[in-house]
Amino acid sequence: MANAPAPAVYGGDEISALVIDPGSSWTRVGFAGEDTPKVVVPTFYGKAGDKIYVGDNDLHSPRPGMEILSPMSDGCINDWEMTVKIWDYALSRRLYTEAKEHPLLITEPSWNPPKDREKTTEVAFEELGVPAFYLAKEAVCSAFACGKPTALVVDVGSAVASVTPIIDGLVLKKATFHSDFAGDYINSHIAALFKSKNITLTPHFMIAKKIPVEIGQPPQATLKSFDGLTESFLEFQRGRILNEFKESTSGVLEQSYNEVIANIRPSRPFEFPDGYNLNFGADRYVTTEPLFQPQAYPLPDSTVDSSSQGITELITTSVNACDVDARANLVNNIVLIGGTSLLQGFTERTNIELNQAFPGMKIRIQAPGNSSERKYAGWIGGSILASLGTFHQMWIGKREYDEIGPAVVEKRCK
Amino acid sequence: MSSADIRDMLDLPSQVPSAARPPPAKRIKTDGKKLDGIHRELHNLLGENTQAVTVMQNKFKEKPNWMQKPSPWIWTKFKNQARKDDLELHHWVRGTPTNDEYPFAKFDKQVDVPTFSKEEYDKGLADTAWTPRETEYLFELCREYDLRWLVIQDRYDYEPEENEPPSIRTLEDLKERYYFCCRKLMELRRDASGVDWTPRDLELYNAMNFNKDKEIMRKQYLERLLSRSPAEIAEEERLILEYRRLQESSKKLVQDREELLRLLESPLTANSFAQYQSPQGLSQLAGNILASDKNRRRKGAPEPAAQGGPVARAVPGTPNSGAHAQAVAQAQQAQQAHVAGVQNGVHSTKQTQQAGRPSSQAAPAVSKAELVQSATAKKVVRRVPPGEENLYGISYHDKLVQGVYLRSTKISTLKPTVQTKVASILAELGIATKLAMPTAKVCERYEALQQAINLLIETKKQADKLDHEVKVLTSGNAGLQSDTK
Repeated sequence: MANAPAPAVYGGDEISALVIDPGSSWTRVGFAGEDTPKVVVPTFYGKAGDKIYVGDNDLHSPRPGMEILSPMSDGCINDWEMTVKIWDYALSRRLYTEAKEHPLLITEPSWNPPKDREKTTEVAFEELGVPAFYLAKEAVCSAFACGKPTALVVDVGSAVASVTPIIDGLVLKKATFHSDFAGDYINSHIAALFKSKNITLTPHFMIAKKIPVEIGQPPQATLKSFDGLTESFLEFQRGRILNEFKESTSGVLEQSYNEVIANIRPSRPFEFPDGYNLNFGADRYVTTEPLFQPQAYPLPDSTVDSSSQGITELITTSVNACDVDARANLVNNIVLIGGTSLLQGFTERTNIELNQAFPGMKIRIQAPGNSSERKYAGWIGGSILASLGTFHQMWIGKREYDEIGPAVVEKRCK
Repeated sequence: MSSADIRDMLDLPSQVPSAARPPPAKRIKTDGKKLDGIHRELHNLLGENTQAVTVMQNKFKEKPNWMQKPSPWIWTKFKNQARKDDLELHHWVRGTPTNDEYPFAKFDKQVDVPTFSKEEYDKGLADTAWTPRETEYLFELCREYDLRWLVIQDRYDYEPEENEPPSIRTLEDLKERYYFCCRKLMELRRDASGVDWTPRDLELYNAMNFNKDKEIMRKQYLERLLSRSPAEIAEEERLILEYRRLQESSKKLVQDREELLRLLESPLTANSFAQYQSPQGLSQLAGNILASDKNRRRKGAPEPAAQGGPVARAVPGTPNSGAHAQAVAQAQQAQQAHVAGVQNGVHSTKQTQQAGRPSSQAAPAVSKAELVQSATAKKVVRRVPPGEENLYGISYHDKLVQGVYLRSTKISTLKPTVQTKVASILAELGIATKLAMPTAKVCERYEALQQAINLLIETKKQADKLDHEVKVLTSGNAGLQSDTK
């Protein structure tokens, strides 16, 4: 206390603001100034008749007729009623606080349409009743979390993979690109792989008892029986197995997929919830390849649009869309974040492909080593921003909102 | 038995009682300053000795003062002066809150973007490609994004009115327009106010000179530079390396050639060398040559003109290079004579040295000079007639080395690398490297032979090099010709 850093050096001034970072699969909520979000809740809600269920416990309990739905699409919020419910749950039932008492900072994707931005502002002031509000770009926050005011933010999340050039903390909108070849798309590839191998996915909650079996032997598990479970709920639960597989077993080859090389790599065993287990060799790598070459690896019985781009192409397009003066600087400050970027070998692959794409430039990728810093980069940056002394002039005050209305966000949050 | 007993026996008066007692123990002096982490008593035991080792004790954090009154942290409202509204936020303040200015408000800085009136626009800012509304829009964006041009261009989204043509603006268009307007505004305002610019204004005015074509060209160059293929980059690096190598080798070649030319520099005897025939002229020349030789060695390999300089200047009446060459030739002769003299090993009298001196010195020394001259004359008379020197084994020396020495040690040695080559050639010729009978003549001939061999080797080396160079150039030429075909 006595030797707290001087404000000139530290630059912080805590005003106990709240930070919400809504992602496609997780919503991060916490107090500004902390280094990780206190509350991380799934951005999903269960709907059974009139009843709405949010939060981990309720979402994962099997209930007859409960549909699992997402309020997000393409990284943007589209179901506001449910979003507010999730935020309210996180704030009041998990964080035990009231939004009325704290300024609130919410992050948004760079391609968020003005209509949604105004809606967010309206929700914050009208429904949450905050005294002050700010809408920050998620990519800008991620760059700040890595300590960079100028960066090329490559965010590979669950539903969206995006590339955003940032100059002095401002997004270059015309050079921002995003695609849906991200984590969830990998999940569908893994699901297709299991289907082709005739592996049935039995979610965790259905297993009553299981006996260990040898590799490749049929599972011996006693299942619980449930009535009236919806397909979306089962899909949601199966998604958890796919995520587990992806996180523990999948990887990315350092170069374009090559079966010979993939087969040399050691295989990894994976045990399904029902006890069935298998060694995965080349399959570990082939399922992640669509991240880089979506056209060469479409889902079975479907085609991929010829204009779709993998991560490296997305980065190349984005860099080339920027002014030539900015390119060298951007390429030298690539920030790689998002949960899917944690795939083994992802950073190396991106680095190698970018070096091939820009042989004349010096490529430097900064990917935080800490997995929570990668998954929550947007939130952490927001937390830093909202606790800076110089930032407090940026908040949209309640009075300002009352005077101008939701359109104030376009003027204030650039 | 104490001294008191003796005094008693001898009936001597006893001393002052106080003096009988031993003096009180001297108190150990301690240093004024107290040492850290050591007790005073322990420190005193050290006495007047200085400490060899300082005792450092682990210092822990100071014990918190539990009894102290805690300083209060208060959750207080504050207003940020950088804000236009009076939004009140809260933060924790230590001690009593004050209503001072918010410490971070001073960081609120804005870029100064000028504004212009309609009259000003009509007067000088009008441009067919731009409407006043769009110009205003551009200035507004500049203000909003603090002249971050990349961002301004990214956010530039001007919606033209119905009668306006659609505007597609590049970054250079925007910059050109903005800086043009700024400069024009400065001019207009100077003319309107009649106050001349300060140097700072002038600097600003010049800094805002934006050359659009140059900027576009620069960007094209940069784009080309950044879009080189890996093969092109590798090729470029290879060429740079090659260029450096060539530069290095050409420097060396020039150096070697000069070295050779100096060796080959043959004496020309165009002018009369009568002036050097007197011993005085000769010694002067020898001195000059020696000096120029030293100079040459010190400088490494400067151009021949520079080398010729000092000699040519020093020798009177030699305005051209022919004279210089002649001077060199004379000097060589003189040197040879000198060497021969030394090698003969016969002690000549001081006479030659005396003779070498200028005969007409300064006026005050006239009598002395005369004396010397007469002495010299006497000795010169006694000289053996030429041709008979060998007969008697007499030689004359300009300068003598003190002490006894072997003549063979006086044979000049070459560089070790050259020496081995010379030795091998000597072996080929069937001549021993060690002289069996080093008489003056033999030594002289031997040395001349050595020099000749050295020259031969050098010439061969250069010839080879030039040959190679010619080959390289012709092959390169052939390649070029085939390319053009």
